[in-house]
Amino acid sequence: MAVTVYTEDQLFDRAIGYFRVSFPTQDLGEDSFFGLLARAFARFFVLAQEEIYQADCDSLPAYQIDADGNPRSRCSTEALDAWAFVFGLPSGSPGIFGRRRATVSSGGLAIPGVSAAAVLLPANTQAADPTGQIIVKTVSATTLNGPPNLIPVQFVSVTTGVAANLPIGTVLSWQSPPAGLNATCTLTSALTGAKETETNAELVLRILQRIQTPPRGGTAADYRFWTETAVDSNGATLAVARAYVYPLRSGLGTVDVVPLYGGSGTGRIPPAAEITKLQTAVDLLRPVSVKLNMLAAATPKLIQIRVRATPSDAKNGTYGFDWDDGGTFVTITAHTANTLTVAAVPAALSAAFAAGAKPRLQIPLVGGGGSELPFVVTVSSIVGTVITLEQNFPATVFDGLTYFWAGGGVVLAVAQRILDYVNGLGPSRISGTADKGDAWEDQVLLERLVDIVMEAKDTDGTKMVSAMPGYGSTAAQIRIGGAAFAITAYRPLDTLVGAPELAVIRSGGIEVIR
Amino acid sequence: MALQLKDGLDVKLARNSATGKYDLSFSRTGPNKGNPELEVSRTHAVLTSLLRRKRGQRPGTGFAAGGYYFDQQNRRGSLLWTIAQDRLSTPSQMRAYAEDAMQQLVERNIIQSYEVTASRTAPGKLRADVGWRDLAGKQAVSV
Repeated sequence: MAVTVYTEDQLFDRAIGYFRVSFPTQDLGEDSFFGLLARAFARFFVLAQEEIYQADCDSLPAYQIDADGNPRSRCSTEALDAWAFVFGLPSGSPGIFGRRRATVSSGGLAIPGVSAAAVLLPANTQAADPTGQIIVKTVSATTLNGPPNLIPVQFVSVTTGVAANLPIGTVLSWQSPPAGLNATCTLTSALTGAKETETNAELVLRILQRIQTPPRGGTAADYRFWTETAVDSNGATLAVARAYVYPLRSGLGTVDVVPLYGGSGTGRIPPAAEITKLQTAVDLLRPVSVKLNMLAAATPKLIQIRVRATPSDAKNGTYGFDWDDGGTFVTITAHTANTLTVAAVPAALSAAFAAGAKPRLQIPLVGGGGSELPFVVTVSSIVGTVITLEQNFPATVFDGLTYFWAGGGVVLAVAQRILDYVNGLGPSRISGTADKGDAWEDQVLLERLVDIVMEAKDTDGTKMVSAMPGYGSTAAQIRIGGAAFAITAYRPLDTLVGAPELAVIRSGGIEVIR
Repeated sequence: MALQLKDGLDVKLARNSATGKYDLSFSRTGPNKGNPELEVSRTHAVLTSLLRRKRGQRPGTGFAAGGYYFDQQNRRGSLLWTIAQDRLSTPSQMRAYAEDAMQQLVERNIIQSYEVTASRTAPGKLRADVGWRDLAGKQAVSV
C-alpha cells in the first residue's frame, strides 16, 4: 500500500496524546470542552484519511484478491470508468470508450398464430414475457401467411441484461397486436447473448490487460483484443467473452484464433455465422501478410464428472444428504412427466419419506438436453414402486439408463462450482502453439476438482464439505465420451486438423454423491 | 497571549440572558486576554451531558436517532431531546431523563451530587432546574 492508513483508535490516541501534552492540567474526558475537541479532531482526521486512502486506491487500476479468492477492484467505480476511457477500452457501443453496458439478447424466433390472411407485423412490434418484465420486439416488418401462419418472426430484446435471455418455449404476449394476430406466440428459438453491465472486477482486469499488453502491430495479444472487441458491419458487438490465440498453428504466416462466449457448455462456442462475422471483423485489423483462421472450438467428446463429498454438519445439517443411498444409484425403469418407476424403492428413501423429511433425489439427466447440473427434486409421494416428484422433469429421461442418487443441500452448490470451473477453461494447448504469454487452463484436473469441492463455501463463508470419501481413488472421477468413469484427468486434444478441442460437460453430466 | 491553563479544568460558559443560550466566556484583560476563560465548576460537562442526544426514539417517528459517535455502548447523554409532547407525566419524565444524565457524571467522578426539579410553567412549556456540587463539595451554579 502506498499510503499508511492509521486505525481510528490510533488516530484517537494520537489526538488525545497531543491535547494531553498541550493542555496538561485540563480535563480531557468526553464531557469536557478539550476532550470533545480532541475527539472531533480524531474524527476529522479519520474522514480525511478515508479520502486520502480512496485517492490512493484510485491512483492505479489495481485489484486485490479477497478471502474468497475473487479479484476485487481497489478503484472506485467512477475511477475505473475514467481509467477505461483514458486507455480507450471499447464499451461495445461504437465510438464510446468505457465500461461494457448491459446488452440485449437476439436470435429469438417464433411463428405467431393468426386468424386472418396477410397480417402485416411491423418492425419493432413489442411483446412481453410471462412476467411482463422482459420486453422484446420484432426485428423487421413481416407479412404473415395463413391461417395457419408458417412464417417465422425474428425477435431481439428491448430489455437488457441476462434476464433478457429467454429459453425456447417462452410465451410472449403482444402489447399492441395488429388485427388478425393471436394474443400470444411461443419462442421456437431462444433469445440469447444478453449480458449484464461489466462489473468492476471484470473491468479492472480488462484495463490491466490493456496496459500490460499494449496494442502493437499484430502480436498475439492484439489478436485477442481485436477479437474480444470485434463488432459486426452494423457496429454491434459480437460479444466474444474470451479469445484464445495460436500463433503459427497452421503454418508460417498464420494466426489461429478460437473465440468463446460466456455462458455454459457448447453455448460458449459461437455458431458458424458468428465465426464468419468475427473473421471479417478481425481481417480488417490484422497485418495484410497474415492469414487469420477464426475457428470454432471442437467438442468431439463430452465429459461427465462425479465427485464424492461428505457434507459438513454446519447449520443443522443444511448441506447434508436427505437420505442414505448407500453409494448405489437407482435406475429409472419408466416415467411420466413427474413420476418415475423403479424396480424397488430404496428402504432409506422410503423411511425418510415416511418420517416426513421431504427427501430429495439427485437425477443426472445425462444427455437429456437440459442443464449440466443434476436435477434435484423433492419426492412428494411414494406408492409401491412409483415415486412422484414435486416438479416435472426438465429434460429427457431415458428409461433403463437414467438413474438417481440421494439429493441434498450440498449437491447443486458443489455442482455449480464444478460447472463454473469447466466453463472457465480454454481450448486445448496440447499442440504447443498456444500463445505463451497468455497462460490459460485447458484441462479438467482431478486435483482442481478436489480443491473446488473442499473449498465450497456458502455465501456467508460456511464450509459446505468436510471430507471427500475415497480421496486418491474414487473421490473425483471423469467419464470421457462413452468410456467408463475413471480416475484420470481430461485433456482436450488438438491434432492441428480442424480446431482445438474444448472441455465441455454433457447435459446432466455432474454428480455429487456421498 | 497563550491560554492560561492553571485557572481551571474546563472552559467557562456564560449564559446570554437575552437568548438563554450558553457560550464560551473569553478573557478581556490580563495574560489570558483573548482566550477562553477556564474554571472548575464543571458547567460544560453538565450541559454536555444534558444536551448530548442519547440514542432513543422520539414518539411517533418509528425509528431510533441520536447517539454520540464515540459512545458505542450508548451510555452517555440524555433523552431530553425525545420530549415532544406535553402530557401529565412529562415533567416527571423530564426529571428522570435529567437525573439519568447527571448520574452519569456522578459515576464518572465529575460531580459529587445533584438535584433536579422539573415543572410545567404553562401548557406546552416545561422547565428543568439542575443543581450540583463539584467534587470538593462546593455548590455550583444551577442551570
